[in-house]
Amino acid sequence: MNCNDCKNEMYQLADENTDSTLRTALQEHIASCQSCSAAYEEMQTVLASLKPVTEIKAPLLLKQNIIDHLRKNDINMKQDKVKRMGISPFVKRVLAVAAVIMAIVITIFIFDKNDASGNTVRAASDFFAISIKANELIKNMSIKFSIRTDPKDNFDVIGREYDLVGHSLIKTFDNPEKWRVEKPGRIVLCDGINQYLWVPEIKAAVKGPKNAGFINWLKILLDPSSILWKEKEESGANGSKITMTEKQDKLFVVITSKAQGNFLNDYMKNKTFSESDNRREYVFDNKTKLLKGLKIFLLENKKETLILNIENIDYDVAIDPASFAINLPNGIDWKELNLAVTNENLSNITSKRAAELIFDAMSKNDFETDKEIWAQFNFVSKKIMKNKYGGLQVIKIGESFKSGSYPGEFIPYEVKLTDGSIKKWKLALRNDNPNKVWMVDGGL
Amino acid sequence: MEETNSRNQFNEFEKIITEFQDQLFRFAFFRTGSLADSQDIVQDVFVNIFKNEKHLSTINNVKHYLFRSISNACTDYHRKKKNHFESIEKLNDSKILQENDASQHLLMTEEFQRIEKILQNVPDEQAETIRLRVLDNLSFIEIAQLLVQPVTTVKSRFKYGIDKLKQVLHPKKHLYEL
Repeated sequence: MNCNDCKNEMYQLADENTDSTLRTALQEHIASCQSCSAAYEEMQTVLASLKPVTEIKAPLLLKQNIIDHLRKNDINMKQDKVKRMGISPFVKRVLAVAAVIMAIVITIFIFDKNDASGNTVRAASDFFAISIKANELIKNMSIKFSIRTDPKDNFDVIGREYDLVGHSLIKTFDNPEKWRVEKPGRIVLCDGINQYLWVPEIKAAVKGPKNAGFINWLKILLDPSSILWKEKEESGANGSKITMTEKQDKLFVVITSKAQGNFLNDYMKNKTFSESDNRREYVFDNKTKLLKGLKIFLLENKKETLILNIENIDYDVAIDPASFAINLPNGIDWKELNLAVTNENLSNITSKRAAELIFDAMSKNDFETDKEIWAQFNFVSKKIMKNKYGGLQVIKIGESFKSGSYPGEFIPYEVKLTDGSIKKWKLALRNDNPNKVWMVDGGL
Repeated sequence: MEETNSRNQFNEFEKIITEFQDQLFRFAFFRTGSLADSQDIVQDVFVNIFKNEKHLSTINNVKHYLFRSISNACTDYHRKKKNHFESIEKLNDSKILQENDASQHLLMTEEFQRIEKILQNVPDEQAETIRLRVLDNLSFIEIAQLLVQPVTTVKSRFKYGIDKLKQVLHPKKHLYEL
């Protein structure tokens, strides 16, 4: 091989598949010729300059996103087949709902694709959609979780000042849905028709309608997909930061958010999760896409407090049907909860005026004249209130205020109890009932 | 039975995604300069193939098929974008990616811009051949199949492109030699 041939053909060394005879001839000539060796070096320099210094690899979640899309497509195709096979009105209704959900999912996905907030937001949003879809197939679940609360108080008493208290929740997604939430000394269950609250220590047994607010905020845990919907809809909004990490068979999604809502008054800040600076750490099973755990931290001045810890969620486990009934001890009956009460004295007045009437009645040990004040309390709870607050002396009642998204109002007060102690706190009253009657909702 | 088939299709597809996702993503990235758009393109290509073909085992040359698909998708992308250089200029104020993606994206974007700047010294056809050989690691034969051109044409485009770049990158030396 001469120099001209070598210089004309040496580019072929850039392809590993070049004929071995030509390759050998070129290499031998370059090794023996200074001029061609220099030309070869130059070509290598050019080729090297065209190689990226940074390794260009597909993002970590690309494969997962593709697989998730393929699964979604597969499900859609199967649904198409089912439709063609002739299906029952019930299944048709379910599919119709699914179709609407899918349409929303797709709409949100398209919207998110155009969202400037970035790649992780989109990946998280997409993953939430897949997880929501996976949730549609579950028949029941069992959740173990801890939350900072007073074990002897309502389920929605949640605050950083309490210890973490273990809870359990079971739910079947049959029609009608049944569920049971339990913490030490308190059980609420729904048998598909009514809600029941049972407090064994004080033998309080209250029966309410299916939608009674016995567990309030904890309701959201009854349907993990509703949490995911909320996250999906708000992903990237309000300056939330999202990170996603895959580790073995788990996917971790961490969302850090600023407080939202009306903070004209700081009282409700950090009383509920959506109204606090917080971080939510979700754990998903990467195979089933189902939620397996969640930690919610409150963030205050660089201090973080674990408020809720869902340690584990088991799906499709054996659940004893007897779990959805409570056998009361002899002599105890269920008291019906009725919020559709009327009381002219307690409607059409300000919350402060209502508080004055309430404290005045308590000072007189009168828990019966305007008994509608206590419509949310069962007789045992009322008895406890009577023992503790009956005969109190009012020192001061302040101006009412609204805060956060709480539907009622707060009225600061200072009272002296019969045991001589001073209590200074805020009474929570609400009148969002059919006849706008002010009722005690908390703060005692 | 149907479940098993479906699972097999997924497993088959998953293997192919694992094997080719980096190459296809790199291909799309060096044609779009956008991490987000490249992801979309690769994702769309796989989803469309899955929807339309399902059994990749029936395709003779999967690699060629995938590169052909991704190449077509990139062509469509530019057709929609109208002007390739417009998209490059827009990179500086393009989407800011979330946290851990941001620094990686910045590095990748810088690399894309640096390499594109070099390739702008040669005609488009030569630049594309060089991209396919150097960045996508396709052989001259594979490039010829993809571009539907004779291998000799591909080789000469590559040779003339590299020779031109030699002159650009080492101008003084070449002037002296001339």
